[in-house]
Amino acid sequence: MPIMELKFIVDGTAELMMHPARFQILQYLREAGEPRYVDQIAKAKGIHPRMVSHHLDVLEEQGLIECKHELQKVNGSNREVAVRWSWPTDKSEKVIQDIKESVKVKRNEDS
Amino acid sequence: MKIASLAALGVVWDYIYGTFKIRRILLLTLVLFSLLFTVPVLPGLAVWLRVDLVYVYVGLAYVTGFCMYGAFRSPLKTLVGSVLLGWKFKPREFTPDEYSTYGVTEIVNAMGIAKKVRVYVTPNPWIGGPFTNASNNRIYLPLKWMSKFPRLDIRGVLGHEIGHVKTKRKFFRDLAIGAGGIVGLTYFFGMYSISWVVVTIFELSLTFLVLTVLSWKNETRADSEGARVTGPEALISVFEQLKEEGHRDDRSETHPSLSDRIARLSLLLL
Repeated sequence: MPIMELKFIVDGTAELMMHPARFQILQYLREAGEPRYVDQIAKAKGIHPRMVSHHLDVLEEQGLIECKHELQKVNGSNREVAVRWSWPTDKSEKVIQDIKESVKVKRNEDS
Repeated sequence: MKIASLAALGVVWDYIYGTFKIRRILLLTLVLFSLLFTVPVLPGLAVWLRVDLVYVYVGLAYVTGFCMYGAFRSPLKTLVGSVLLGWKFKPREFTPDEYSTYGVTEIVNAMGIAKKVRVYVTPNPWIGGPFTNASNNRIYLPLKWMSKFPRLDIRGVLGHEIGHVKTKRKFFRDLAIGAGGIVGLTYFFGMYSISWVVVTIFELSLTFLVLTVLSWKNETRADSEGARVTGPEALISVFEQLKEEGHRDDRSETHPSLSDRIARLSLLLL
């Protein structure tokens, strides 16, 4: 398949994944299979929680993840805190597929 | 007291380490300068060399030195590209929608800037990164950056550039103090120097050294000013992505290294 037919490569959405942290976060959410909150992502990936929040904002704005805020007791705390749950959307799957496909096309062209 | 001394040592170390490239250029200049005086003599062209044109010779030596080491390449490329190819790649101003989407007016108001700041998008391939024309408060963003970075990251970049508009008076003040210092030191050095050729080299080298230090300070100031309004996350994200793309991470003549800037901005994350 020619690269020009890969929608998310052409419209630039895939370029968001050029940032290593964003790619890591999206991969982590896809592999987790269930919603994760900022602290969990930050600990798992070793990224500052505020940077995680920023990357989640970017991914959410592009429709690659969905987020929901909830009051919940976490980490054995006695009181409820506001946590931001995030999970990947179907669009993120398609974007990753497009990236993989473009890498394959590029490798074929190079060889 | 101990922490203050350590911080002062850090500043001195930063200065020496950062000026390494400048010292290299100075050495190269001396070599080129001596070549300028000796090579033409060999085929009997000594008549070309006039002592009253020494400033021209030193200038030529500096330009050659800079070209060889790639110093000031990026700002020179931007300057040449925007002046010579400005007619071909006409920048377009942000639409009212874009001004509001990127929150330009909010940033300008939050920084307390009274004058109108205009943002332009340029398709000029010679312009590698965003820059600010402080004389007319215009910010230029390369089209490539607009498509490469998400809206939130571009907002951080705009925060930094608008920070330049906000802090330009401080930069000009520093330049004036720096120029005074250079003239004073050159005068002092000139009184004890054996040759005015040496004084000329000293003066030009000191000028570029001072320009570098002031430019770094200016960039750091704009980073902080931008982070104060838009938060440091967006700028950190942009610098990390540039690093990932293989953008040069060493200290240039006009900018501190990306790693240094990320480290400084990360301190604001707590």
